[in-house]
Amino acid sequence: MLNILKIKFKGLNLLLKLLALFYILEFSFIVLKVFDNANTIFLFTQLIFVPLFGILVLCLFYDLFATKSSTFLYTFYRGKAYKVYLLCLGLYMMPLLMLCVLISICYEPFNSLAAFFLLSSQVLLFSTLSLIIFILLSDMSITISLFILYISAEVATFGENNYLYHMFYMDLHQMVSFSNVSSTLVLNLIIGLLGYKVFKSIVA
Amino acid sequence: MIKINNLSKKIRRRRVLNNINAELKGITGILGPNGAGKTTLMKIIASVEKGDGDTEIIYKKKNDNEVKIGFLPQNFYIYPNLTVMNVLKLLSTLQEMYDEDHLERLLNQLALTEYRNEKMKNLSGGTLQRVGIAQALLNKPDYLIIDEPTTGLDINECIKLRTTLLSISREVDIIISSHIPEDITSICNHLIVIEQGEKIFEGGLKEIIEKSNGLTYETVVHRSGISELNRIGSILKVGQLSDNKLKVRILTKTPLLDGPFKEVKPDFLSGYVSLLKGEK
Repeated sequence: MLNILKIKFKGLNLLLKLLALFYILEFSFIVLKVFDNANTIFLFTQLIFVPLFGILVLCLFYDLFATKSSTFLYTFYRGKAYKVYLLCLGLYMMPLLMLCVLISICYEPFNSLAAFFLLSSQVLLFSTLSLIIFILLSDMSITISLFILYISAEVATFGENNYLYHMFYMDLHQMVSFSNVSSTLVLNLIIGLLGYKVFKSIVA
Repeated sequence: MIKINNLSKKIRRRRVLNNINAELKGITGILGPNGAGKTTLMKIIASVEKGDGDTEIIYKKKNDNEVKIGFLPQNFYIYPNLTVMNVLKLLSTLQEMYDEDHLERLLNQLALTEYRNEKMKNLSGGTLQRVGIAQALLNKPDYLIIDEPTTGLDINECIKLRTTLLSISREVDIIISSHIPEDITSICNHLIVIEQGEKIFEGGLKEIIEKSNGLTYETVVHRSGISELNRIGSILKVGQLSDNKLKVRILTKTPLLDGPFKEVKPDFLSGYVSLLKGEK
């Protein structure tokens, strides 16, 4: 499975370089304490790395859902697509765990584990929903436009729009802790797991 | 041998294939005009799609191992940003059939060695089709199913591809679909003709040629006489003799025998056209 990812990533060079650049920038910002508040840097982490994983999985499965060869390639992916997704998710979350730990070291009393679990639930939710929309529409640009619209609306209203589901933690005053993020985390996780179940049933 | 029983398929309420029964043996060609249902038939034989209702496809095995099928779809073009080698590696890994030696052998056999590090988007149509054949052979298949392989290729690439397929046919049973009779006559020994989703012929090349016995004529006409010929039959071939004179091969039941018409030996094209026109 790792070999499949390795080869597929060769076609996504630009996106991976962009991802690496964001990691380095974020790393530097934390170490250099560019922001006074841990929640501000965590908000940036959410707004950058959650949608980026969405884009990454769309590119990863572009061949399977939006090309003329989709039905043909599907015969190769039968029973493997969700494993590729899970492996990619696992690999993606490792450096994010490092970022969360680093934030907690530099900004006390930031709870790195709560932040990491919240981030994981967001990445799961965002990516599975992106994949489902992508499978339904077979169009990457519309899918990306939809989630840019959602994130813009969330940022513009700072997570207070009554008509939107709030997957991000946007409170800049209360430090990230399990008690503060538990409701968002659980809801994200439930919807994310449901999304994963739907995705798996489509590709299995 | 592959046996097809009661194969029917509806796509968006339109019947694309209607109760096809056939036996595919040796190197089988599936011939038919555009829109006849060839691609759907090939996809069903290759197990990429399923037939409706009572459809049954029986793959006769040479041994007890599982039957393996290699499939090259029409307009094969995948992963434009990956190199030939990476595409083949990816597809063989996905099939859990990665074998470095076999991959090298395929690259050699299909004259792809020099393109191994070339990106897919930089390949010509003929080379892309050869990569397509290589990917279809990755799992060492018992049957190789190829859908319209020469579409969009120039004449040199067509000839090269047909030669490649002939050399491969020694190792694997090939089922090839096309709307170009030359693709079929150059390599196939068994033939199925479908039209509007119905099988209208199954047999050897000889039998199809016999369909136009006594119906194929040649004549020399003035350029302006072509439309007249169109009324009495189907023009098969036109050759230019001079600026105004044309040598025409025609399929007709009613030749003007008192004119300059000369009956000639039928060929595959005349047999195929007579079949499509329902002349005999």
